[in-house]
Amino acid sequence: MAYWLRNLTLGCIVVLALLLRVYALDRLPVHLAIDEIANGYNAYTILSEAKDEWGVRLPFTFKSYDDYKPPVHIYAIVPFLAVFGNSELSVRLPIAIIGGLSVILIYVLAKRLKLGYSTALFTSFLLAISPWHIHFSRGTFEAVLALFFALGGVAAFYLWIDKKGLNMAALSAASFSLAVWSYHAQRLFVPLFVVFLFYIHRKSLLRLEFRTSLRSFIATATLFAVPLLHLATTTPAISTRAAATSILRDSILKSQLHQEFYANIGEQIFDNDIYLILQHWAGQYFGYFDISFLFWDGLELTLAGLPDMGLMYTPDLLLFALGIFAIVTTKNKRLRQLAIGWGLLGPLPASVTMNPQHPLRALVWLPFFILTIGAGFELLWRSKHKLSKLVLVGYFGVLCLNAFYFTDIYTKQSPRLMSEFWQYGYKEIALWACEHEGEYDNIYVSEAFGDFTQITGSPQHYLGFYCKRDYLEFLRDPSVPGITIKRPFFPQDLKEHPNSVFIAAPWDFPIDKIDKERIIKRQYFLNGKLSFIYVETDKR
Amino acid sequence: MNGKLKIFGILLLMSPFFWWTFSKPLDVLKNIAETPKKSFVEVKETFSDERLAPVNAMRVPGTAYSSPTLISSLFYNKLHVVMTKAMNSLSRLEPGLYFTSGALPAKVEAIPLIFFPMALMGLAEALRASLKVTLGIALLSAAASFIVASEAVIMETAIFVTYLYLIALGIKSLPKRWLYLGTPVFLMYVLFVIGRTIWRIG
Repeated sequence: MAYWLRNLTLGCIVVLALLLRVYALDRLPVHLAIDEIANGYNAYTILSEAKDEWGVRLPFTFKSYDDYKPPVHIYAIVPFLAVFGNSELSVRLPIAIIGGLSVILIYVLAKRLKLGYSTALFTSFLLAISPWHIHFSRGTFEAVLALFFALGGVAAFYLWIDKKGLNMAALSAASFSLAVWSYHAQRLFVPLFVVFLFYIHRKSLLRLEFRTSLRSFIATATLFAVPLLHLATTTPAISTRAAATSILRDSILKSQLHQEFYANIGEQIFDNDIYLILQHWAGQYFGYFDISFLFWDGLELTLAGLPDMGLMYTPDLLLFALGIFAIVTTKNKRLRQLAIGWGLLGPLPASVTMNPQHPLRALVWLPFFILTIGAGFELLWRSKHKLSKLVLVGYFGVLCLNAFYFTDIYTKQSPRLMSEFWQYGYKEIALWACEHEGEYDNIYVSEAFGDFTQITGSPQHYLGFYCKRDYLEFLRDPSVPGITIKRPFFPQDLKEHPNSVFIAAPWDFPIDKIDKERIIKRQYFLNGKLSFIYVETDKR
Repeated sequence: MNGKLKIFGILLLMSPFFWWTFSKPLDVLKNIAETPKKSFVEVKETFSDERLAPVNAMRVPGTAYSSPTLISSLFYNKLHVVMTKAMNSLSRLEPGLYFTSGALPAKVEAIPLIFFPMALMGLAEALRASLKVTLGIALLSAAASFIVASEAVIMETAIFVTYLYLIALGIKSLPKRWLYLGTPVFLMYVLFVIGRTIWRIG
């Protein structure tokens, strides 16, 4: 393939990837979710006061909802807020762009793994249209940023080994380190993966010519690791998050553990807690190899039990199976070792947390699938068997249909079925409350809502972000005039808080006893169900 | 008897799945006897109202977030129901069901977990030997689970035997030194799992 043609093709794939991630970004997903608004609000406070929402100046970690968010993503939002203002687009654009640019890195990596140009372009195309990657690139998920850096780290690592480019060792170390700083799950994956990379390439790296660059790698990694170690040893930032999502908090496991209170010696030997934890972890780990989860319904774009989308497209299963065969039988040792390592280490961070089959935490696993499917593609592409090209044509035909299916699920079904899980409604409430604040003594906004299930939201963040105010203003005593977070307690509130408006879920009011004229506004989820009602109390 | 079959036989005797099946012959025979009837019901109920409900839930016309009618009828139909069942059948190949406490009611590993790496190595060996045979076995096992009720012993046995065979292949491909070093660890773990099985059943 001519140099200009492959660059042009790659350019087209990058444009496609960016389009798929940026198109209608302000309304798909339908609303800023609870973590997105927290990221946006913290970026806003950084921009306006150089402090996070807790008043810490330029922090290394954002305490937020006590989940200590990694900093890279939040700082990346800041310039976008400065340019585009406080909007969905500003919050989501950095990750969407990074997600789009990731296709270049997978192309570079595929080339370093000695796959052909056509296959390398195919892998970047596959990442460009990946439902798994598109979904998380559009919703401000820092795992996408971390994956970008992890891919960059591996690509730079191979450029270093192949002696292409300057200072690739430092770039690789910096990229891997930024991955660690970008997303919690990478704190486990990256160190293990780097050790694995060093192990499989130990013969090359121990050669004299690599000594200087090896030092450069270690020095750069240390530079990034020191503040992380400082955080880990002097603050609860690392341990709190790890404890909050640990497998030990899993309700099924907790119900099985004896907590060292064994009924008899048999139980202590054969039903030991350590064994039960190992078993539970293994079950979770293997759960990530469930074909249905991977290729049919694992992405959780709709409600449980309803038709959904797999992490990969369904026809990818065919090329994936061929890819496994290709990887096992290939003479390309580099591809085989990396694919097997990534395949086994990929689901590890997700499997030690409390939720089974968590597509976001497992996102770092995605390159394994892309490379394996790519290997399957190469097998067919290079095959001289008369059926192979026909199979590829069939694959692309079904892939096209499946892409339409994904489009329908993503743009129609998911917004309708899942709007409440994106906290749908709080933006409208925030804008209304700030506009009408002067007309009432108080406007009370409830943090409890939901149709399918009761959800606790964070309306103060939406109010703070969209009204550009300090969110602590909304958490003050309910008797102080203004906008306050408080659930309704009727009929007492009718008397105690005259000339006020209560905004809450319909089930939070004694709806049958409320005069209909008091309801001044109704809001709906996208499934048509009533989400919030605005109830006025008596005028003074 | 060749080496692979010898290892297979030893593995069979080491596996709780075999002993559980052997210790409950009546339950197993009953399950096998019921399989044709269950399979018939399974096939008959493929398009029952309950199974069609999820696809019908996607065909909600008249809102801003409804799929166009053509799209609805193209994607959310009986083929989707059949595909869902087929993919769920493939899910039965998931190793967790056999290497952790999934396939046996006694909550013990059907096959000792420690053998899982050997199964992976065996899969690689099987693929190197013949792609067609390996894919054929996997698809036949999945097809069996598509037809018979998902909890049927007959189907689980087929997948169990496949895994054991893969482990045997994996062990056969191990370098002798590794085998000698690993045997005491494997034996200790297997003894523990057998002990746990007896303890759970007892």
